[in-house]
Amino acid sequence: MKKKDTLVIIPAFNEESSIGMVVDGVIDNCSDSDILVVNDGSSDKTTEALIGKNIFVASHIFNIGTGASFQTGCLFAAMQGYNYIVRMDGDGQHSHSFIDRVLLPVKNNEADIVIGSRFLGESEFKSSLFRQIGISIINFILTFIAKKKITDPTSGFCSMNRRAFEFFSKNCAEDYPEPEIMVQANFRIMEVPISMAKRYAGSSSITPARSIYYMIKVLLSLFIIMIRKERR
Amino acid sequence: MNPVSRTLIIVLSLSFMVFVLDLVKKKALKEKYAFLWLITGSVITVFAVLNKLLFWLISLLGIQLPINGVLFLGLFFIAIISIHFSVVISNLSEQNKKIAQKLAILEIQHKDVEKEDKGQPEN
Repeated sequence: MKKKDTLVIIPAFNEESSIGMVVDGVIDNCSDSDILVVNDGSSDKTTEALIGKNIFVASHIFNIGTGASFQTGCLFAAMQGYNYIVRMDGDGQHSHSFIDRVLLPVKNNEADIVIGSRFLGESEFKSSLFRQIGISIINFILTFIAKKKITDPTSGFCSMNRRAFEFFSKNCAEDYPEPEIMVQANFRIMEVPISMAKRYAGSSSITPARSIYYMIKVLLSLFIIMIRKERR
Repeated sequence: MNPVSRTLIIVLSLSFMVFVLDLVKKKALKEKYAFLWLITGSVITVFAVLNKLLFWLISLLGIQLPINGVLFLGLFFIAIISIHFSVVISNLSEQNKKIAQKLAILEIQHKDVEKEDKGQPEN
């Protein structure tokens, strides 16, 4: 089943209008990777949009969250014996042109996890005020715990080597996958600048009320990770 | 506590326990989950029967009305049972997630095997 060395994992929940384009972009530009779309119980035509494409599609029978979708990808990658994975969004915000950039430090064994950051370098990404406040609070705490500066902990664009994705195939939060990744298991983390496009279609799952909820949840889980660390 | 309310509490908690046991008998409720409810019922019954024990306990706690002591106990047990349920639900949702993930991966492998079968000439 596995043909290549790298697996591109694309979690998708109700992305019928963008997923096709995203997948085609990756197929055309990254010939050295296999693609796995994790369809997280979409109620629209996400599955139909992928028919006929030479990719893997894992379909959850019901919606269980982005974190769990990514974990499904990690499980698959671990079972099939891939060496590297890249995680990107299915809504078109992440461009395939940055895949190589995100993947390179992992392939060169300079890092276990590489995060594509919207806030490093040339990008002029603007998110909502609420999200910005949330991100800066999380940043502050993360920097404090991990003792490492991470500019964009909520970025969904990242790559990992096998050690890292095998870890996430076993440990993973349900619907807030990204930030607390960074503090766990002492991975070597690196950030590279990327820029993000506007969504092709659909709407982000992050509304103001949700960002507050999301932030509290992330803070809580960071806190719990901290207590666990001390106990060890 | 007045005899009427005392009798009422005893009758209610006893019939509550019979109800719970009946659910277990009909296999609508697992023993595991009936356990906490039965403890709640028996503690309340014991306190209603042994009035003096209840009076001693509430004077120790500084509660004025005996019935408040019973209510307090009831609430306490319900809080424990709720947390117990939250733990059970967390486990269930974790197992649920794992099933969905495993199923999704098995489906890919299954499709792959089917494809291979079609590719080979039939014997």
